[in-house]
Amino acid sequence: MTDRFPAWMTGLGRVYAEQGPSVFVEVPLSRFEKTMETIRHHGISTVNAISGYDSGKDMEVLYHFIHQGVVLTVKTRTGRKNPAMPSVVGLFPSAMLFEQENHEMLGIDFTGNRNLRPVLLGKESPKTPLRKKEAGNGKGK
Amino acid sequence: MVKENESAGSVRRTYSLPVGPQHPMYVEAENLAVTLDGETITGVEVNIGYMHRGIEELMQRRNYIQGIYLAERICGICSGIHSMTYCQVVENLLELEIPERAKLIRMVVLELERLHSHLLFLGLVGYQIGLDTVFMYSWRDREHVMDMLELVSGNRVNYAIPTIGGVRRDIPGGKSGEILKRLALVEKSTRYYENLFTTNRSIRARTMGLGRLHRSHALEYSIIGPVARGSGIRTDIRADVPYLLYGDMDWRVIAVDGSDTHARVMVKVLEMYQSIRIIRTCLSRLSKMADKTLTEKAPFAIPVAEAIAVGEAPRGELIYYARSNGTDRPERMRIRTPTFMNLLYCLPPMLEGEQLADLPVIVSSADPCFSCCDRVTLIDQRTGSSKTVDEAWLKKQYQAKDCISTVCKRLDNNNSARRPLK
Repeated sequence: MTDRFPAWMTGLGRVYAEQGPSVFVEVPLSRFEKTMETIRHHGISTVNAISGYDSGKDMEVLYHFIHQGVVLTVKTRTGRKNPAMPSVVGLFPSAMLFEQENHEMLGIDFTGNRNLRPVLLGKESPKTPLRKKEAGNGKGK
Repeated sequence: MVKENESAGSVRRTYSLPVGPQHPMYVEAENLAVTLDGETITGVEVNIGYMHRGIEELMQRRNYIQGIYLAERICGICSGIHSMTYCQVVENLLELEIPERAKLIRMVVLELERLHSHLLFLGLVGYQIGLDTVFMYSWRDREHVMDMLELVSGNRVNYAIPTIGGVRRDIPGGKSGEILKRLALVEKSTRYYENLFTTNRSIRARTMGLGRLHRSHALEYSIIGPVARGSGIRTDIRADVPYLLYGDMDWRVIAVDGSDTHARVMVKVLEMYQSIRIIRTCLSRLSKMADKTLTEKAPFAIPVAEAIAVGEAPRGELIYYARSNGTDRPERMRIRTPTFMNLLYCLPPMLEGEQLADLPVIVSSADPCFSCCDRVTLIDQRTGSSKTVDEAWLKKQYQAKDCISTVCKRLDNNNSARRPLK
């Protein structure tokens, strides 16, 4: 099933979805930094997007890479209360804006990134608007 | 606005000019905090967020069909690629393959959209250089493309062509003939623009060697789309991760090595030939196709799944990530637009070291989705006072013989009198 993708990609963690040119891999937070280093080691210098998602139970952070015709998504989870992830700006400079955006929208703290200033929301805007108000209600607001 | 460095009896001042949030070229608002040493740009800080409308959150409150129309309204120029990438990500959630005819019709609309966006860009660059004729000509030719889009969809801006599972309208043979006729006119004009932008001395003087973005910087900061291709990087999602039927067609990715404003303009001019080529191939295949199916049935409620879709907008790579929860509304919809990726990282290196008068044309060459100098705030760093001026004030200054020198002189007068600017 995973033969369509390079072995190093599918070996990063648990492959939980495949679809056309896209492969989704989940890694535990403890192995996250090592995984990112592996990706960088394989010649990927760009993170094309970082998506955050508040599941109500925990906070999911997804890193999207486009490399040699494959769209690789690496998902990891962090706690919903005071969510924190290691910053990947040192490995992928383009991650800066995405980390700022996810910090602003979901309140995720990217450890090591000292420039998590607001970029999109105004002073009067609601804080962390994409966080769910009540845990587990499945409906956002 | 002022920092002073005194040396050998002379006084040098650096000025800080916030440019924006309103821009005379574009309708969208952004802000550039430009630091100047005389008329030379020494630093740029890009501030965004003026256009933030919370569309991701809005999509999560609407059903999948309503989301198409919301996606289409993210951008007036790229409305087609937004709605089609949105439909593609929902189809990916459903693992739904759309009919081949629908794929071809989507491609026709996407390439027509690229043509009209590129012609709009050429007009704005011409206008910024001071060649209003180029602006008039390219926007006249853009009208042909808008007419073609109207012919196909009934609309000039929000085409409402895609739906989840396919497209809403066919392109019958009669319309194909009219499109081909108008394409020939656009192709002829493209040859004119290619010749003009290659040989015209004024255009070359105002664009060549200006706004350099080195390949290494573009690679390091993941610059995408035509801006990256103007730095010689052969990247295009249509070729890198082929979607629809781009992988089956004969076309090529355009990359120009100049790494300057001229190279970025030439990328757009040359890409127009490729778009025309793709449209002709699509129309030819459509005319020979017996299967007239336009859509596959799609359910309203979508089972729990995750999907991602990518597309090449006129300004570069566009990403949609979606997650469904078994209902008729998405649980999460994430949109990463091309300008969001490019703007913060490509403008500072392009502008630093250049003259203030070249700022508009360099910013135009990055083709951001945004707008410039409707108002400017002048800040006196010594007194902390500031003055917000309007477009008319700024134009008056720019029409003076030495535009920025006049601004500086006026500020100097204010400073020497120690009067705060109001």
